[in-house]
Amino acid sequence: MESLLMILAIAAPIILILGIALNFYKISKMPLNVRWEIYPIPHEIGEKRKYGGSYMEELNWLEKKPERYTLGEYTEPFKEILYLHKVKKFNPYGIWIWSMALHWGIWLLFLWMGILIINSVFNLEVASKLSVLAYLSYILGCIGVLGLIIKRVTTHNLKIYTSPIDYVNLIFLLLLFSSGLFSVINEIGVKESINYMEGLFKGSIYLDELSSITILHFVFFKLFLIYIPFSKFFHGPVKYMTYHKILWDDMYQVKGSEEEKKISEQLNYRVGWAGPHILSDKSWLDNAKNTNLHDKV
Amino acid sequence: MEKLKDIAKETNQPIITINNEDLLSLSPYIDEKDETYKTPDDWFDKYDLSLDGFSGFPFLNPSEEEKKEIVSKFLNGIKKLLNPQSNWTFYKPFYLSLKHCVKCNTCAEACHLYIGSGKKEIYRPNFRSEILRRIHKRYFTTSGKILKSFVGADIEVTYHLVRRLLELAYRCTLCRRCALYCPVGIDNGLIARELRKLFSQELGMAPVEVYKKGTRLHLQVGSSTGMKPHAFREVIKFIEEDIHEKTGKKISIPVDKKGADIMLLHNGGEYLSWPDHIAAFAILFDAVGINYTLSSEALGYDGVNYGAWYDDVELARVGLRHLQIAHELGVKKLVIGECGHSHKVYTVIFDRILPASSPLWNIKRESCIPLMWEIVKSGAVKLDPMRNNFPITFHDSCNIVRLMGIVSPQRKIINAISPGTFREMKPNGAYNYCCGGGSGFAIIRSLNFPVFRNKVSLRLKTKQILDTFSDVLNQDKPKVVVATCSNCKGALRDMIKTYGLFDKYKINYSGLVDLIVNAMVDIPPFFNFEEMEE
Repeated sequence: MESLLMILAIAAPIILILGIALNFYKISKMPLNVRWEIYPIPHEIGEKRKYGGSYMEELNWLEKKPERYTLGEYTEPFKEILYLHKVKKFNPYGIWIWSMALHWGIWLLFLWMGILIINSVFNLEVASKLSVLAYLSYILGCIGVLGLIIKRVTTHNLKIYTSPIDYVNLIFLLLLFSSGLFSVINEIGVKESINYMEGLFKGSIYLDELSSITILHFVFFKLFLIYIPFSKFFHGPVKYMTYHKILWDDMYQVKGSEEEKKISEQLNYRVGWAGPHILSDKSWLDNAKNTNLHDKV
Repeated sequence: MEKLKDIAKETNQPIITINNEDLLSLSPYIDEKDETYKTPDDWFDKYDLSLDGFSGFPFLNPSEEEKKEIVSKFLNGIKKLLNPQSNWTFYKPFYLSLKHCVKCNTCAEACHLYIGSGKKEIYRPNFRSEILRRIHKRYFTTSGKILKSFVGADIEVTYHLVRRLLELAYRCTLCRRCALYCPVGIDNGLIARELRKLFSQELGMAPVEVYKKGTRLHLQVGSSTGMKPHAFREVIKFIEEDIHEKTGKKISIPVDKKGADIMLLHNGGEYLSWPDHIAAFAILFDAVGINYTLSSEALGYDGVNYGAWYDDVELARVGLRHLQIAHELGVKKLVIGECGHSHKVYTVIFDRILPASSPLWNIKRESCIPLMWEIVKSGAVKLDPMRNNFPITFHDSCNIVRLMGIVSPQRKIINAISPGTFREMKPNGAYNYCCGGGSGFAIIRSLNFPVFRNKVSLRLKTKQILDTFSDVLNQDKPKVVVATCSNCKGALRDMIKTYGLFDKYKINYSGLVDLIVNAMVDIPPFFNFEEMEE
């Protein structure tokens, strides 16, 4: 059993990292899409960033060096990560408070686990002093999940879009947070968590000294890590792609660039569509040049 | 609607009905109590009105054999949307939007059509996307094939479903406001466009006005209006004469002038519906001595590209031809006239349709709006803001603001040429609401689709305009909605007619260049408000 827990503890973060990396690799290998940005874009300069302006507001923009506020592109996502500001501002179903609780439960859980790791690696005594983070994480997580389950069950406009697997995901999170809460409900629980992590780093977990609920909580956490890249939980990391690589990707092509190379290759892809106006076996370039084409039939 | 899979109901009857009392209220401005639209009874047997009682597709119902083929082709089409080669243009954003939605429905209130309809479920931006996601899961993923409804793969593809999805693809104006609202960056507007693309590129199904009388006609005769090159030259002559009559100026509009700095590309519809708008450009450019030309080559005088709304192959064909014409003329720059989708196609989308080393790519492509602002700012033409002394608001074209970030110059222009009478709609700029006529809605005239457009799709913008002018509505003076897009102007024209806004409130519309020229002091006022209503 100890060995299994050790293997799981080592494998989970590796699978998480590899899973996310693999997903990102797959997405990055997808064809370069046509530009499809949406404004406001946070790397625009000055007021443009606020009102949604672009370099195309200038005359002869191609002759000017594009100015960018790169930092903006990397600070903007924190509004969503830390505050879910779009959900707060636009969601009409009152899910923001529950979603915030759940997301902060998750952020604090990662923080707590990080503190446990630092505590073990550097042999510090900080974890017990910061155990309030664990309590906060578990309580917020439980409240958030319960709130979201109730919202999804009772709000018709959410309910009809929710599949059993979505409830399973939420229940899984509830198990994760509630097991954590039960494990730290008394002072011994926090100590057990510290001991468990220290045991992992020393290569020996003493199961006899741990309660079942603590073991179970850590097992749930590891499973959660493994599950992230292969489930709806990947909606967090994928935002890097949807925003930075699509909706905020407003840079025009440059001669000799990697983008140009890709576009040249992609124009030679076979179209493959069967519509009456399409030369199915020909390339995109051949089809585009075929401006005098009348219907095939 | 009880369940999403109700969309596959085996019935010819509409799955929802739209009644006046359900719609977003236009009270106290408009009284619609006595207006009820009734679909001719025989249409329910003859055509397919099974989505919402409306249709833009005058196809007769197919035989059972044909229905099977349509279902099979539809599934093939999904496969091709998910093929990186067949769909390289949009594969990545489509795939990510299909896969990673968390179904929080934050996008709902972004949609003018959903709100205008009184929040009918089928118009929610995420509704059609979720149907497609469930079909994709059911037929193309292992988890969906095994676990079915447990993972949401609970929708069977039937002819009724496919037919309703065809309609539903044309219940979204592709304004992509929903994408702006999404906390995950999911683009439900794109999914609607991908559905349109699937129907066109695999099944050859698209509204007559965008396909047969749209891109096909454009490529075959030179313009989606049906205008041939010789007719174009006649129109130019007529416009020159008209300018002379109205202003006393003898202006020769440059056509096919080799080596000009600029080729100006107007929406072809302007020549026939709003020739004054073309005249306004000619007057302004002539006044400041811009070295430009129009093209009389087939396609060269019609800058629309309806492919942007439904078909990547047609998009590429029309666009490529436009660039070839500009290249043959040897111009340095292609300037896009006041046409929203054309702006986006040539400045944004076409950035990656050709490699940067192509001579065609190297023709600079810009909006006319910054150029107009430079003209106004420079003082090269003398303008009297008091000529525009009437309440003015500005309707943003989604393509120009949200989808390419040109927001400020048009406002600077209006502020400079009006005496403080400009008022913003709320919301505006990148957060504007679509006029309701985008993505082909303004030109689709088949069956009872125009009733849907006028009553549902134009509704929120109608309310927004009336709210904006609420303090001056009953004053006996013209109120002008300025728009820099032909489609938007078409929608405003329909709106003014449908709701009697001109007769009741003297609300009218115009292009931006028209407003500038109206302020030019060396010619008589350009607007004639008594003639503008049509």
